[in-house]
Amino acid sequence: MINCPECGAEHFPGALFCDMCGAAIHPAAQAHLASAGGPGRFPFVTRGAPVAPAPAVFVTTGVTSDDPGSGVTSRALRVRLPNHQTDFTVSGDLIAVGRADPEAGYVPEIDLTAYGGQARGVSRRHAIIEWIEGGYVIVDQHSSNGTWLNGARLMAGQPYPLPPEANLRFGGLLVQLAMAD
Amino acid sequence: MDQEPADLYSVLGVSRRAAPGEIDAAYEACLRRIDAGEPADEAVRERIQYAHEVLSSQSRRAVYDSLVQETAGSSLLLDLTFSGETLPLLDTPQLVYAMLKLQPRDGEVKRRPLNLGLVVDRSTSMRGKRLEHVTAAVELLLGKLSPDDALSLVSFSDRAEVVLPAATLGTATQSVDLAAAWHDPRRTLHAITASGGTEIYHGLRAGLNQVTRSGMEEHTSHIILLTDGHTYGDADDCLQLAREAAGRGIGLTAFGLGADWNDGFLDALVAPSGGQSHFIEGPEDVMPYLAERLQGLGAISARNLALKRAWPGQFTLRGGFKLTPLPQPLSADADSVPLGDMEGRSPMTILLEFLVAPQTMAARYRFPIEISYIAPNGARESVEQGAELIAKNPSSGERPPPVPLIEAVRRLNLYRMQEKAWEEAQSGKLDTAAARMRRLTTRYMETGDLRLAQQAQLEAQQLAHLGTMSAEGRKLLKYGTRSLMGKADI
Repeated sequence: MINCPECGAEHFPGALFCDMCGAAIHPAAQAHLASAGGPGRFPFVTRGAPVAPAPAVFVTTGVTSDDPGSGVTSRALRVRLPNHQTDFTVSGDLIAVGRADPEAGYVPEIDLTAYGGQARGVSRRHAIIEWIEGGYVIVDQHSSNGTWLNGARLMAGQPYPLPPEANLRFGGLLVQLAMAD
Repeated sequence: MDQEPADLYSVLGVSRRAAPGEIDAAYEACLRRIDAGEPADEAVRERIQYAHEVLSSQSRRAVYDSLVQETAGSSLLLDLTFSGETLPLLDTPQLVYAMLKLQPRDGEVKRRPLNLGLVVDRSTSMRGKRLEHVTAAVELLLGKLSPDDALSLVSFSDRAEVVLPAATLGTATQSVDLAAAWHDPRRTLHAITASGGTEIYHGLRAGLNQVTRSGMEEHTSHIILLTDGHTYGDADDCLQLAREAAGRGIGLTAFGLGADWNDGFLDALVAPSGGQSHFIEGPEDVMPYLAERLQGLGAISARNLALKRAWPGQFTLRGGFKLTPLPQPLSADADSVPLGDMEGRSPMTILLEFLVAPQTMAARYRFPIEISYIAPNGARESVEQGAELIAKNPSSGERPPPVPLIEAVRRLNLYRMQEKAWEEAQSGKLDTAAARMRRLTTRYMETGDLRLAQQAQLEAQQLAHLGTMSAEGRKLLKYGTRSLMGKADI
């Protein structure tokens, strides 16, 4: 059994919150409350439904944010494709992952066309990585073949915190992401 | 949207159950057709090559199958996430949470005609504004229903009266039996007078009789109960009746008006059909609630959803909550858990809490979630999604629970806290109840729900000074916290 850090009540392991006093018990719940900030701040509700990002033309430029709400600007992400000996860096508040669609003028920041993206089942608008409240989250854009984070499939349309180092699979294509610097 | 041919089986033109030999044969046949001059560009060739590569390897085919399983066949899509996929080895039980998201697959929802039974309380306490607003709301409803919809209205106090016998609106005045009541339904409505006690059973029985007459097989049958009081001495009979209605595929919505009705009872009443119970604070809110309900009922796609108990015996369902479209506790003790209907295009999200038996040895569990329902075309269908939970010593770098799940559990806990405070207040543990209310005040501040925070603070004071919670405060906190759970999901 585990104890609530605030009121000491006993709980079964795996409990996320204390149902006696409402405190966060699980480390992930504690981290979530810390990142959600003070009263009334719940960034994921106000963000609305996931939408495909605006067409972007940058691949490796450092787009910095001046979002007045965050105070912390997004950090660069190192992208590695282990089976293609490729390594590059992207940054920005909104990083799209997918395959370029020249006719629609759409080029995602992480464009997987050149790495067998289509054959490997990468959707054009496969996922987005978004900088929110001091951290990246990844959201699968209802891709045909899914996104997997460290071996676990992500629920489409739901944001998941991106750990500092992550093994991702877009459809059947492996991509490693790590915070640069 | 992507136009990718996602299905590798259709690339080769074989069925999902094709044996390895058939796949090889189909692949060779494809190549022969291309050699014989069938037009095929590089992309098509690559696609065929890739399809064969994946499907001819047993392990890759299994992975592919698990990826596309959800897109096969059924008219609902099911997404499944767990708070964690690893169960640490422990000699105590542990908790694991699952979040389910159901969505209709097709864009179009064909409207089914409604067969609506209104069961309206006309006990003494309904006198005045309450009954006026209810009558006005029903009048409005008459205008909103289509000619092929059927409606009946029963009023009850300590006995029931059929005010408007069930009739299809377009033809109600043509029948001799019905013409008297339906000649001027508005006038009939205004003739309802309030007096007497509240005995819901009589009303519900008469309402069910109206709704279950024949010729309504193509309709969505639903009973809406509107009451403002505690039923007297017939609660168990009512629950039995609710189960009977659910067994016939008839949904139930319960509206509690004001603060003096029994919320626990109404929750239990709607549980067998997976229906909804609502708190209507003031009489002027009756109309919007009823109109919204009508809209939802008119857009039903899949019906009578039920979660089957298909998971391993090591897992005990400890609690279930529907988060969207409308937060509602689920009855976790039935053989299958009724989830109600899918209304419109909006997804249904369910939070489940499981208690896992102590895990002392490494093990793998296949954890299937299966939901049965009646598809829009009337066929019985089911949708299944499986996950694998592994009992082992946790390793580093495991995926944390997704944020929406954390938020949902957070709000479920607030709900449980206020339920607990109420129980404590009822059983005389006033200090504990007051302390819990003060804690809740802080938690509501954290979630940014200032009205609930204020109310919780007020109730904490009430408990300390008067030794009781206010009936209004109780309803406000309960239904207010409940609605928070719907907001936690995106």
